[in-house]
Formats: sequence, structure tokens, C-alpha cells
Amino acid sequence: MARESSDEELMLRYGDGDARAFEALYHRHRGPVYRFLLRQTADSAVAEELFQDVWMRVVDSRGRYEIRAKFTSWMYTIAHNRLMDFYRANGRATFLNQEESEAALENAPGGEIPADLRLDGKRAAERLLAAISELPAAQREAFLLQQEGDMSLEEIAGATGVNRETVKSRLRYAFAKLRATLGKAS
Amino acid sequence: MNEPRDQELSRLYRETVTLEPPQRIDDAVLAASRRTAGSRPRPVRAGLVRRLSAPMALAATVLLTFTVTLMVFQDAPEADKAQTGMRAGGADSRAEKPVPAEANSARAPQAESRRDAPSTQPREATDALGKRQGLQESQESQEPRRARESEPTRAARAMQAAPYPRAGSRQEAPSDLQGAGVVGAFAGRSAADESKERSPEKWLEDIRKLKTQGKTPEAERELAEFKKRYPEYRLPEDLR
Repeated sequence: MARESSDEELMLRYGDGDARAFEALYHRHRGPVYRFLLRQTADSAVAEELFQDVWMRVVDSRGRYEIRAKFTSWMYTIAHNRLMDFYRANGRATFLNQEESEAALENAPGGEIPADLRLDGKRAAERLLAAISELPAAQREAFLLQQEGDMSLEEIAGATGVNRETVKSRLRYAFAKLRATLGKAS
Repeated sequence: MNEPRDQELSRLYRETVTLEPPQRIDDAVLAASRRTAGSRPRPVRAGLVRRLSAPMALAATVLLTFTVTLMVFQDAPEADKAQTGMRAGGADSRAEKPVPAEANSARAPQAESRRDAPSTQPREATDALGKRQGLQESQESQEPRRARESEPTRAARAMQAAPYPRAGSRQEAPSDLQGAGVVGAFAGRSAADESKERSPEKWLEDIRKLKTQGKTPEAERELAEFKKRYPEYRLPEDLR
């Protein structure tokens, strides 16, 4: 069985004119990128516009693409930058200054996910999505990049322009708040 | 690694991942990607060319400079030779340089009074003539290029060098110092040979001398030869 090409190989092949390589790359990442943008903007029209723009930038960058990092890190960096533009254009630049203190984290409510919610997958998913939407944007972004982009702390830090510890902190806040919201909801 | 990852939340989240972009967005993106893929080659090669362009330009400049320098040095001996020739030619042209008409007319009374009070000018003129002849000889030996020139070319040059005498002004006869010896030598040569060496002015002076000496047939023959050779030359009144 032939080895599946990596994202980077596909992007390089696309750079050499192989349109099928791009199709493979697109189908591999279209869902995660779209959901990342949809969850961040909470507006399907905006998400579609940003999604298309991100992929067009990938298309336009095909000649300049060099393997310096994972393809996903590079692509989500583009997505993050487009989101920043969107936030700035809509007066939501406070996204950049939404760090919480370690003390606040200590006091954050944690908890177990209720058993009945675990059994009802559909309801649990709805509750989780509602909880994600209530997260501060920076924490939500870190969570989504980890879940949708399957990115490490370093990769998230690189894509969002912060240090590793900040990402770690954001994720811990996000988990705690999500659990707390799900526990309350039950 | 100590990365925070909540497996239970991740499992729950995976159940939500059903949303996907609309088909029309897929179509638009893929169409754009196909258009771009077929439109141009990967510019990484262009990047390679771009990276190499500066060294290539430098190498081309060095090569060009070297070639030009080499050509200059190779041409230098020829240029020196040509310069020497030009210097000689310059002296020649200075000797052949036509006397301006104003100077001719200014000199006319001086020449008329020459017999009474001979000045140094005729001697200088003779010296210049001698120099010129010497230069002509040396030039003929040193400059094969000039020797290769066709007769019409040289005649045309002589025509250019020779001023048309101003109406009313008299072309002076040769000085006394040019005397009979010169004329005698002239008479012994063929007209063709003479015409190669003499300027039109000199030729006319010789014709005048022949007339003065009473050698009218010879003078007429020379004059006819002169007219044949320089049909455009405006003859002085005394020879018309």
C-alpha cells in the first residue's frame, strides 16, 4: 500500500503544478479549517468568506511555499491573521488582551462531566458547543487549534504569536471552563 | 511533554465535527486552484533564477570589461600608428591648408612688391613646400592605406583642400626661389605623375611659369590637362 503523502509533499507538488495534490490537501483540511473559523466567528457567512480567503492565500502562496514548519501550522497562521483582521475591523481587538491570572485559574470551577450527559452524545455535543462559544476568544482559539488542527503547544504558540506558556495557560482555562459549564448544565 | 489535553472533552468535541463548508465554496476554491496550477510554473525556479541573477550579472560585467580592455590594448599599437599618421597628416594638411582668401588678397600687394623688397615669406613658403613634399614621400611610404586610396578620392581631397580663387584676386606666381630648376624638373616628368604630387595651385603656378618662359604650347597642354583633371576648378583670370 502506497504511503499517504504528507501535507508538505502535497503542497510542494501543487507548487509544481499538480492540481490533484491540492485537491487532496484541501479535502484533508477543509472541515477543520471551516469549523475553526465558524466557531471563532459564530457567523456562517463570515466564516465562509474567511475560509475562502484563507484557501485563496494558500493557492496564491504555492510558489513561495517552503517547508519550514508543518503545513497546518502555516495554514492556521494564515487563518489566525485573517481572524485578527476581522476582529480589528469589527472593533473586537480586545481579543489580544484576554489573559487571566494564575490565581483566577486556581479559583476556576472544575468538575466532572455528568454521567447522563456522557450517555447522550448529541446533547453533550450541543452543550459543549455552547460552552465553547462562551469561552474568551483567545482560549477558544487555543482549544480549537488543538482539537481541529491537532496542533502541539509550540505549534499553537507559533500560529498565534504568543509563547508556549501562554498557550498552555489558555488551554487550562478553556478545559476548566468547559467542564464547569457542562457540569452546571446537567 | 506535559501538554494539557482533556481526552474526555476531545472525545465529546469529535462528536460535534459534522459541519463542513458548502459545496459552492469547495467548487470556487478548487476551480481557483486548478486555474493557478495551470497558469504558471513553480516560481521556486524563478527564485533560483532570481538568486543567480546577481552573480550572473556580475560575471557578465566582468567579462565585458575584460573584453573591452583587451580590445583597447590590442588596438593600442594600431592607434599609435594611426596617431603618428595623423600627426604627419596634420602637418601635411597644415602645409596643404589653403591660404584663406583674405590672406591671399592681403598678400597680393606684398607679392607685387616682392621683387623690390624680398621678404622671408617666399623662403618660408618654399620650406613649407619642401617639408610638404618630404612629408608626402614619407607618408606614401608609411601609410599604405593612403597609397591604396583611389585617384578620384585623392583628387577629391585635393579639390577640397584647394580653395576656389576669389574673383578678382590673383593667384600669385611661384616665388623666384622656385625658379627654373623646379620648372625644368617639372618639364621632365609626365603630367600624370605631376598631377599625383602637385596641388592644383602648384600646378597652376607651374603653368604660369611656362607661359612666362614663353613655352606657350606646353603651358596650353598643361592647362588642358589641368582642366581635364579638375573640371570643376575655377581657373584664375590670367589662365582662362
